[in-house]
This record gives sequence, C-alpha cells and structure tokens, in this order.
Amino acid sequence: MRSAELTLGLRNLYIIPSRFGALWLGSAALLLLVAIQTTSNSTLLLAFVMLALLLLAMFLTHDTLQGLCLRCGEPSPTFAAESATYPLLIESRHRRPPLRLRFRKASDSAHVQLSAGVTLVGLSWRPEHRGWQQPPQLQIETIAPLGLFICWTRWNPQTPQLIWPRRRRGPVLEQHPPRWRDGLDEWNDLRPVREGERPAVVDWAGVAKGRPLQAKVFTVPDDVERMLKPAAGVPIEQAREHLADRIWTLQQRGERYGLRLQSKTLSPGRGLQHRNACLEALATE
Amino acid sequence: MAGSSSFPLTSPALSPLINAVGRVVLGKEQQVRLAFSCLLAGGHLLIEDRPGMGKSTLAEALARVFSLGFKRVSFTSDLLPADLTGINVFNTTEATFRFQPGPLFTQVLLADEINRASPRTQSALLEAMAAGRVSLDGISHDLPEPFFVIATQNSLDQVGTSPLPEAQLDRFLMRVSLGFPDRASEEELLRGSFSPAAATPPLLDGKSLKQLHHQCAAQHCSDELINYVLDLVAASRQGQGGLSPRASQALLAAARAWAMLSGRDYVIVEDVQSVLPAVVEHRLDAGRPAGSETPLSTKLLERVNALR
Amino acid sequence: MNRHGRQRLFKPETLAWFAMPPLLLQCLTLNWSAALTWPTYALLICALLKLWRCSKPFDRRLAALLQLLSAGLLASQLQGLLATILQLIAVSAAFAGLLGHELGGMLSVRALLRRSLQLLLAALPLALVLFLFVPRIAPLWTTELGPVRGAVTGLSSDLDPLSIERLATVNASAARVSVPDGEALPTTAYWRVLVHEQFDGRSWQHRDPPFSRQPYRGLLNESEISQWWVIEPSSTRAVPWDGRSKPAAKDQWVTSEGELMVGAASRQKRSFRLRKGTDAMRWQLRPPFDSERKHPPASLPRLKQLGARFRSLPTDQERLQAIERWFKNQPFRYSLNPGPITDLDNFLFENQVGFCGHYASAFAALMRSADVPARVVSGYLGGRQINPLTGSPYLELRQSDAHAWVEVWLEGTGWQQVDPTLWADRNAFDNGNQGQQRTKLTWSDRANWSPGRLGQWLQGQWWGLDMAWTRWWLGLNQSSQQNWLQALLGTQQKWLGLFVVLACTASLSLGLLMVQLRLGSHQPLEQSLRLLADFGVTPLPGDTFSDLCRRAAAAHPDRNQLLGAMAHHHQVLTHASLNSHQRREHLREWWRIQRELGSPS
Repeated sequence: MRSAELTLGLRNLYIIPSRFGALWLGSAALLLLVAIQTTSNSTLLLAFVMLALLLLAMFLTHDTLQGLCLRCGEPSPTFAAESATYPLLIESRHRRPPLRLRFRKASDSAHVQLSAGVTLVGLSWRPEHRGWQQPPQLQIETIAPLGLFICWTRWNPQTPQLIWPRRRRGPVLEQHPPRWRDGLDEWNDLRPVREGERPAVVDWAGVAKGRPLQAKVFTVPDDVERMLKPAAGVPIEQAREHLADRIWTLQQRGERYGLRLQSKTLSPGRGLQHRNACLEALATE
Repeated sequence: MAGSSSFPLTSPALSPLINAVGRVVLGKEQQVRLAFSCLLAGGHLLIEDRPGMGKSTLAEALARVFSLGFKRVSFTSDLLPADLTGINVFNTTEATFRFQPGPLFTQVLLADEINRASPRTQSALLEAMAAGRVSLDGISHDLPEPFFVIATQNSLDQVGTSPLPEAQLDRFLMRVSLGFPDRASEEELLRGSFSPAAATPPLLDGKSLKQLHHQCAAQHCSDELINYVLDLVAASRQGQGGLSPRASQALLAAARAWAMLSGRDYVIVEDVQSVLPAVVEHRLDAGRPAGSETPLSTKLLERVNALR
Repeated sequence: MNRHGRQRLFKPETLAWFAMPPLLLQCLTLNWSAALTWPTYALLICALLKLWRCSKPFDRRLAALLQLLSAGLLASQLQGLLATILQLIAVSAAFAGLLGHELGGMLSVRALLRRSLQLLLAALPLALVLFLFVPRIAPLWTTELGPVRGAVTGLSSDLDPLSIERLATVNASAARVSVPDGEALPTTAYWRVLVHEQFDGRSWQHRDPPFSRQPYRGLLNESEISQWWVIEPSSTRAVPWDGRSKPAAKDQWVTSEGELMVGAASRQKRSFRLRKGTDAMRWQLRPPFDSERKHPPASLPRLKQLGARFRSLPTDQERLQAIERWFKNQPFRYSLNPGPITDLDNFLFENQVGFCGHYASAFAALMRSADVPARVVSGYLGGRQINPLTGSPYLELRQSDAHAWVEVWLEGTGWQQVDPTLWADRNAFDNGNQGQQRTKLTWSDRANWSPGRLGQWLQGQWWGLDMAWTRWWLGLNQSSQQNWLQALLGTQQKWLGLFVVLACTASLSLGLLMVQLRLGSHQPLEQSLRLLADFGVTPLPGDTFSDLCRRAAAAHPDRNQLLGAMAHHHQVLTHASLNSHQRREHLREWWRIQRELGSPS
C-alpha cells in the first residue's frame, strides 16, 4: 500500500523472536533444568529473571517503533544507475533506541538513532530507469534494546523521485560547434598609447625591452551558445544518456547551452535551474 | 525560525556601532546585524539587491564605523585585474620596475557591481580575498590587516554581467539582501531624518577590532551545537551538491559572531538558524536565487532536528 | 543522528568485561571433580573468547548470554553470601553489556548502568511470582558423580591416629551451625561424621556404605528446623551432625552406621538444614555387623590378652565398666606430642601417653577383644560460639576441634557413645593440648586487640552474615513453598494455575509500568517536550526549543514568563560552558519551572 505518511502502531508492526531470542529462551530453560537438578534457588531465580526479561523485551522492542510517524521528504533528482538518496522525515515524540531503515532490494541500510522531534534520514537506493520513479518497498526494523525480538514493518513511500538518464560519455549533436576562447592570452593587439590612458593597459614589459609605450587591446570574449541535440544514428535512449553527461559537464564549466528534443526545446541559458530543467526534460519527455 | 522582529539583547559594547549604522540604513536592523556578524567573523560580505536599495551606503557606513581605511572601486566590464592589484611600472631613468599598488591595498574594499567585471578581474579579486595577498610577476605583496571586501551586486542585472562562479561565491562569508524598507523607515527617509554614510562616526579602532575578532573566535560551542552544524551540512549534501567544509566553518564563525552581538558568550541553535540563510543561500543556489520558491536554506532548516 | 563527540573513558563494550573477574574468581574455587565444573569452565572460556574476538554484534550478545549462563551454573554450585554477591555483580554487568550493544550510542555508561538495573528491577516482579508460586519439582534424576579426589583438609576415612594429630593443629574452619532463635547452642556436643568399623591392627577404616537412600517423606515446617549447617569443603560425603536430627531434604540420608550423607558434591561448600529428632534413630538400634565384632589381629598379643580377661564378666555393661576402671587406674596422660608409638600394645602398656585417636583406637580394640562390638567414630567436639553483630549466634567448628571417640554395642540399649579420652589424666605436665581447648570465645573482651584478632573478629562477623543469608536463602525451598501456597490458597490448590497466570500478568504490567515511568525521565528536554505537548505544542520541522516555548506562550499568555525562563535555562544548560555548581543551579531552576508549569494554574 502506497501512502505519503505512515504512523507505526499495532496494525502495521510485526514482531517475532530473533535467533538470539531463541538462544536466550533455550539458555533460560537450561538454567531451569540445572536449578531443578541442584535445587539451587539462585539459579532458579536467574532463569526466571531471564524469562521475565524476554517477555519484557517483547514490549520494549515493540515500543521502539510504535508511535513513529514516517513521511516522504522532497527527493532531489539523481542520475540513473547512481546511488540515489531518498529523504524520509521521521517524527518521534521522544528519544528512541537505534533502528534500521533500508529499501528491500538495496544492500546498505541506515542506522538511525532518533531524538525527540523530526529527523531527516536519507536512504540510498539505485534507480535503473529514468523518469519519475517510486522507490522500492521500505523496511523499518529494530532489535533494540536487547536483541531478543525483531520488530519490523514495510512501507511503500508514495512520493516519486525524478531520475535523470544515466550519465554516459558519447557523441552529441551540437548546432554551434564550440569555439574555444584562447583563455591564455590576455590581449590580442597593441596600439599606440593615447593621452590619459590608464597605466594598467600599458605594456610595461615591452617598455622594459626597449619598445615604445604601447597600450594593450583586449577583447571581451563573447559567450558561446550551443544547442544540444541527440546524435543521429544512436538509439534515442543512449543519446539521452550522452546528452545528460554533456549537460553536466557544460554546467560544471559554467557555459551556456540549450537543448532541443523532439517534443521540447529549451533555449540557451546557464545555472542550476537551467541544468535541472534540461535534465528533467531529458528524463521525462 | 529566526525571529526577525525582536532583538532582546545586544552586547553593550557593540550596540552603539549597530545604532550608528542603523541611523544610516533605516529599518534594516537584521541586515545590519548580519553585516556586523560577517565582519566580526572576519569574512567578506556580498550585498545583493536591486539598484537604489542602499547597498553602497551600508557598505560605506560599515567601513567608517570600524574606522577602517577604505577604497571604492566600481567594477565595469573593462576593468582589468591590474586596475585592482596595481602594476609594475617601468622606470626608464632607473631602468627598474617599481610596484604601484592598486586600490586593493586598503582595509576595506567596496567593490560596487562586482558582477559587471570580467571573470578574470573577479578571480584576481577573489585570490586576494582568499590569500590576503597579491602576486604580481612572481612577487607577492601582502594586503593590510584586516582586509575586508564588501561587494555589492545587482540582482536584476543579467545582461552583460559575469555571475560569480560557485567556487568564488564560497569565498564570501555572507550574502545579504536588503529588500524594500518598511513604510515607517521610508517615511523617515523622505523626511530626511537619516544621517549620510559619510557622516558615520568612527567608533572603534583597529586594536579593538582585533580584540573583537579574538573574542568572537573564543565563543563557546557545545557538542550539541557542533553536532547540529554537522547535521545541517550533512543534510545539505544529500542529493547533488551540498555545503563545503569551508561553508560549515563559515556557518559556525558567523553563528559565533551573532551570539556575541546578542551579548552571549556561548552559541545556541537559534544563532545558527539566524545566520544560516545569509551564509548558505548563495552557496546552495550558486548565485541564482530560486525566486518565488521557498528558499533552499529554509528547506534545509526544516530537514534537521533543531531540538537540542 | 545524535552522536556525542566526546571521547568516553568507558565504552559500552567494557561493561561486559566487568562481568569476567567475578565469574573467574568463583570458577577458581570450584572443585575440579564436580560434574558441573567443567561445563562452567567451558562456558566461561567461550564467553571470554567471544568477547575478545567478537566481530559481529551477534557475537557480543552471545558473549553476554554465555556470561549469564555461566553465572547461573556457578549459582547452582556456590551459594554463600560472597558468591551470591559476585554472581549478582556478574549478572548485572553482563546484562548492562548486552544492553550497551544497542543503546551504547544513546546513553552514557552511567545512564546505561541505571537503565540496565532498572530493566532488571522491572523483570523482578514477574520473576519473583514465578519463583514463589510455580510449584517446584524434585530433581528429575540423581547422579552419583560424587567427587573422589582432591586434597582437602578434613577428616579422612582412614583413622590412623597420626592423621588426627595433624588435623588438630590446623586452625581452619570446618563447619558452622546455628539453631533456631531462643535455643542454646550445644557447645559441648559430639558432632559425628565418620564411623570406622574395620580395624587392621593399626588403623581404623571407614567403609563407604552402599548407596541406600531412605526415601524422605513429608513436608518440612520452618518450625521443625533444628539446625542450619554450612560445611567447608571436605573430602568426605558424610557431614557433621548430632546423631539425632533428621534429614530435611531429598538429598540427605542417614546410613545404617549413623553417618549423615548430603548429596551435594563434597568438595564445595555445602549447606543444609536438619529437622528435630526426638526418638532414637534406627542406626542406634541396628545390630552390629560381623565386622564390628571382629577381634583385633594377632599382632597385638598383650591387648588381646588384656581383653580376654574381661570376657568372663557376664554383661557388656560390666565389661565396659571394668575396662573403664582399668583405664582410670593406669597413669595415662593426654598429649598431642606423645612421641613415637609403635603400636597399640606399646601405647597401652608402655608409653601411656597419647591423644584422642590413640585412646579411641585402643579402647575400641580392647572392647572387641572382650567380645563387645565396638567401633571408632570421628567427628568434632564442641566448637566456639560466636555472636556476630548481625544475625543470630552460631557455633563454629574448626579442624582443630576434630575428635575421635568410641561407640560400643550394649545388648538392650544399642550403640552407646563412650569417650575414653576423658579418662586420661589431663592435668599432668603436658600443655600441648590445644586440640581440646574448650574456651568459649565471646568476643566481648575487647581489651587485647591485635590485627590477627581483628581479622578473626571480622571473619566471625562475615560468617555470621553468611550464615544468616544461607539460613534464609536455603529456607526458600520446595517445602517452604508448599507452606506458603497452603497459607495463600488453603484448600483451593486447584486454582493455583489460574492464580499464577493472573499474578504473572499483573507483575508483567507492573514491570512495564516501571520501565515506562522511568523512560527518559532523566532527560530534562524530553520531560519538557511532554509538558509542552500537554500545552498542545508539538515540534514542527526545524523548530528549536525556544520556538516551541514561544508558540506555547502565544497560546497560553498567562504562562509566558515561565515558558520564557524554561527556554532560557534550556539554552544555558545545553550550550553554555558551566561549572558543576552552575549546572546544578540551572538544573534546579529548570525542575522548579517544570513543576510549576506542570501544576494546573
């Protein structure tokens, strides 16, 4: 059952003795036998204390999870085939012993120790496909405080996470092939110094070499704009992956780019929002 | 979140300074305090807003009240790095190069419209901000102590500007937006009951400022508070991007200064929450405010349990 | 999320190690030949290895379980006060260690200890209900794996007069006995242990009786108990008794020779109780075996000759009196250092200096050669009364109280006790008779204190405590359980099952209540949050405590001041650097505000 919010209670919590709990019970039984055979009061009492603790632990373990309120956070978009973090908000009225959260197919789990208030937990999973993806089933479990019982519940968080196409290096069709600016040269020409020229533009190095006073002529490199398109002859899914990678690197460099897909065109721009818009278009269009 | 309306306590040593600047920039006590925290924490300040909101006035008033030497440079697209740092001028009579320091060699540099300069000029400035010195032709020249950059940036201006890249924005401890004044403040403004920036009295000498810096760094941070900051940056790192270690340092430093302004010798969670938008917003949105959406810093605050 | 950055001196794992020393210490006192010793050792070594080389959390928990198990096994073997205290420490530490695996990240060591004790206390009501009301069952089977070897000081089954001499100089404690309040301690009694009926001309041997248990019937009233015994480890299964009391448990029985056997392994400290016995015991009336009539061997010609002279007397009684007269007429002297005595002829007719072993051997041999069945009994004589500050007085028997005497069979009256040592001249020049000192030490004489005396006094006090504990703890047995069940349910015993179930439910609820009540109450923040929840304010994402207080104050303007103060103190307590005095002050203020806020306006 998918929902955006889940409050843990009697209806959705399950509890069984753990392997250690079974061993514990066996040990208590053994001690009981020893106590009967040796008519030892201390051993008998210890066996009964262990039994009582077992019963008590059942309630305590259940209490560790009971009353928790889980809500989906706002998942931030991620690339496919990379580790994605799905945010969960867990509200607790009081401090709790540690519990474990994991997506059922994921290998790693998050151990969290909740204090009173709302805590954000990021759970990692590995989406394989692009688009709005729902995370796998979530398992919340705990054995605290004694490890005698395991209490758990399962939940399908409702809020989907936007998954961009996976990043893969490859050819991309660019409408305006990049013109690399010659970033090394500060200036590209010299001209005679005019009256009232700022000293900063004077080529002092040249003066030192005996040349006459000359002023440097600077060019302001204009922004290169490019429109990215899926490369021809590449399967469209793969082309999307190439585009995702290219957009990522262009954004890192701080360059301007636009995106043209069959159904959607984004005019050139730059910045995080622009990048996110482009990648979302790649993921969903 | 941060109570923006009431400031119950102000350190008695610092309240005259805040009041003096508050008489210049009317009705902006929150921003003035943030700017003070920034300078007390020893960080550079970026003031961003539309034109005519009093950005430069605030910057100048700040410099004057600390009685620091300041220079103002209006950044334009044809401003060269050498215009800031200075140049080695060739003296033909002695046949040697002589270093002619640029406007960068001051205690407070008011960099107006920083986003109008070319990326190259900006990076020259930011190098000076990071290292506190200027390298020219293989020789490094130390900048005076203290050295602050108070830069202003026009948020509406998009054409012909070079927005600061992420790595360079990270050098600014805070970004403060002034916003429109409230009606009462604007009325005072119209009635002319404000003092001009140039008339701000110097209330602090360099030695006292140094002392304040030391005092600020010695503010007590509990384990719980450090954990809170750690949880905040950890929460910001979920997903793409996130706050750098420098950002977490900056956050704590600013919170210390904020606590000091409030007259406390220990830092509380509210201090961190108060300075958080100014410290992290520009690092999270990479220089482009998200606009009408909920600010990223607010979202961040909601993701971390602050009950400690 | 809420990890403490501070480095702690003790990690939770260290707690588990604290259970080891008490367990190992007890293990060292175990008897190597007892059946449960080896499993205990094996468990403890497993626990040690698991604790040392634990890689997974499961291993650590397993180590705790092994510790608990070995503590349980130890508890079945060692039941003294000191052992019980050590077991208690071990169990608490093992449990705290177990709890620490899960809660270590959340609680400090102190809080962890508190929490573990709290959980143990919460489990106690249920455990006590089970302990008190679940009907006990008798041992399902009996093992005869009695220990046979081991060097332990004490009476030996082979009464060579020399061995008693050695014992007489050992000052170690042998046993302690206490009687019901109000009864006088029998300080001059003969406590019989072993009966030696085989004589080979030199030593008297004890024959291990075939295992013949006399089924023990009937229940025991606490008022029937006449003696509580604590026996130090000894090499024999037989224990001291007065020859009249009756067994009070299923693992005790009296042999046909009049020895009291206790089923528990003898190489450990044993404790048991005895019932009052009034009528003559069966062993006293059992006709003598042939081995008890057997004449001494020919290697003692003069003794046999002397004995034959008395055969002419018509009755056993007269023969006994004649021999007694003979002894008293001879110049026998008592000495613990009698010099070389080659055999009994030498003792009787030449040397005539010796101690209880010599007198008993010689007298018994003489009686047999006079055709009166006789045997030697070894045990203890007398003892010291000790009045501890705590608990009731008790009688302490030391190894130096060891004694030997004789029992003769007189037709018509059965076995009669005769102590020939009393016939010796005790006032002669020899003063080395420490073994027979009858000084009653009351410890009231504090004039001559010395470290040794202080040590003795302390030991006496401790044994008093130990005695009281043993009396009480061993008293909670099957029979006393039936007594209190009888008192509780009367004739309605068939409802016992229902009663136990109800009591279990109630006690479990009580335990849960105890856990809940104390849950996190030491966290001021949590208490305040509960309080604020009562004000209708619950935390929103990103709320600080002050925000909550502010919201609560907005909803309840009359409490504005208190809420503001609470927020302030919280800030100071959590974030300011305070010395302990300031911290206490703020905490006190905080609790005051809590109380004030908690009380209805």
